[in-house]
Amino acid sequence: MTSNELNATNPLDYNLGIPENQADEYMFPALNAIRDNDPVFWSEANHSWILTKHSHIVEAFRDRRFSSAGSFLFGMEHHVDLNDIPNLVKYSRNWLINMDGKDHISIRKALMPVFSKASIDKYIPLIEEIANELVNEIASKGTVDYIMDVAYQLPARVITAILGLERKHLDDIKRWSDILVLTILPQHLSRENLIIGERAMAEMNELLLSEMDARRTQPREDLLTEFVRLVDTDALSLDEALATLQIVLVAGHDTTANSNVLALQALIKHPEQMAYFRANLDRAIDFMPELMRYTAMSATQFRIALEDIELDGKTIKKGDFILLSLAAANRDPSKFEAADKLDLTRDASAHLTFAPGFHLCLGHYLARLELSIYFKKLLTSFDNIIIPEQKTEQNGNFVFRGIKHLRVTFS
Amino acid sequence: MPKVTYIESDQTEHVVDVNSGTSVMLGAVENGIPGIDADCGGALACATCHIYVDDKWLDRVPETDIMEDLMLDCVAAARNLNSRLSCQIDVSNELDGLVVRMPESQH
Repeated sequence: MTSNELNATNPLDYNLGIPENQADEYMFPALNAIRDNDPVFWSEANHSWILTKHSHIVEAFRDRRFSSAGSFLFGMEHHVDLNDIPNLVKYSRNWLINMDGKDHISIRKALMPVFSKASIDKYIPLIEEIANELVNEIASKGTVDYIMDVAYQLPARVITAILGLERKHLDDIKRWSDILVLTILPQHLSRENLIIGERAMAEMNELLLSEMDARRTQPREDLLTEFVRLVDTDALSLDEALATLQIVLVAGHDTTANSNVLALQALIKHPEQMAYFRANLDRAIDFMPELMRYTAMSATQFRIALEDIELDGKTIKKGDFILLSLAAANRDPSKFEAADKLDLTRDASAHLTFAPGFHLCLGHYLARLELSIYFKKLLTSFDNIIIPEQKTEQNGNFVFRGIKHLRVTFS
Repeated sequence: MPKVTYIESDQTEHVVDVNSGTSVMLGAVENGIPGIDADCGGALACATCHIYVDDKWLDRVPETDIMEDLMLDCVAAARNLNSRLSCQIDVSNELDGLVVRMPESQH
């Protein structure tokens, strides 16, 4: 069967792009149903294939026919004259998430030592200091908008400190990140968003270039100095360095923030798991994979088929768009027993949150470390954490899921 | 079925049967042998399945290609002449009896 032969009114079909559909209560049952009934699914609603089985996605992550590079413009050319967005076109091509093959490997090779455990562990005292600071801010307020006041602040403060940027740039970085995320989600693509995105990228580059120049004459103990060294030793071109820094700023921001809030919600909904966490704070970093598996912040990845691919009796045609549903695969009962249950005692290391394969998230250790240091501090500081009854709004991003605001009370 | 001997950095030995066609990395992971992390699942993207191939077997394992060579520069422990990424070596009847050692750390 190919996409054209399938019935457009399939009751299993499910539009991932609609923000309300991304809420737990709709998303998990819908994706579980697709996985259990038709795991390699042509979705008319999304004009894409949706892969939902753990084993299929593990293979796709390591199969070069599932291309990341093919999708780098995300259809921008349908909305705008590409000459009007030169920066977006130039740099998004150099984002690791949009690359394949040798270029991809050579950039990864340059960056891996920078993001290795040994390099990142140097920042533990700094992350602890920021976690303390946030917990003190929470204590002084009692009730907070957890997303804006805490969850965004943690990765934003950590990443700016690690890069060596001053905090006065935080608001700009948040604004640039929010805009740039909109330029890579097909349902948000519009001329207006792309033009604003172009301006955001130009502003971001201006800051990064001037900061890099400053370090060229006066090196410091920070990540920007590392990037200057990589450029000056020809390990990275200047464009590759800028593109990677853009991704570090954007990716290190939203994803960790959303993981934080979804994990907190999940722990509060499961008091017995919260109690287990509190009783085993020293193992906080070991609990992160299960929290990530269960909450599915990293819900979907895009790929494009470079050639016809036979999978489970279906033919994915060359050029077809493919959505890898990590949310469905992370709850695949053939991989995880009682997969719909949060269980901090399980070995969840096979979770797919960080896209294990060619595109394994470079910041995976930093994310786990940062969240575990923070949760340890948070749970040590507050005995009572209450999420009052309230309406929540999804962030509308089906790749990196999250919610917009959440009022939480701490004592 | 070919046998592979995995030796941890504390000298603990594990002798296991590994199917032909299965990578040395997967042979360790599927048998629960510690010392090989393989964060990227075998896609040549992380350098955390580093092993030292016993000298006696060096000329029998397939040669390192350019992609593996690039990644080997990123291993956490010292890179030696017998350093390999275990995801890139498939077990075969010719490698029956292969001996590999794991470094102290992959990160």
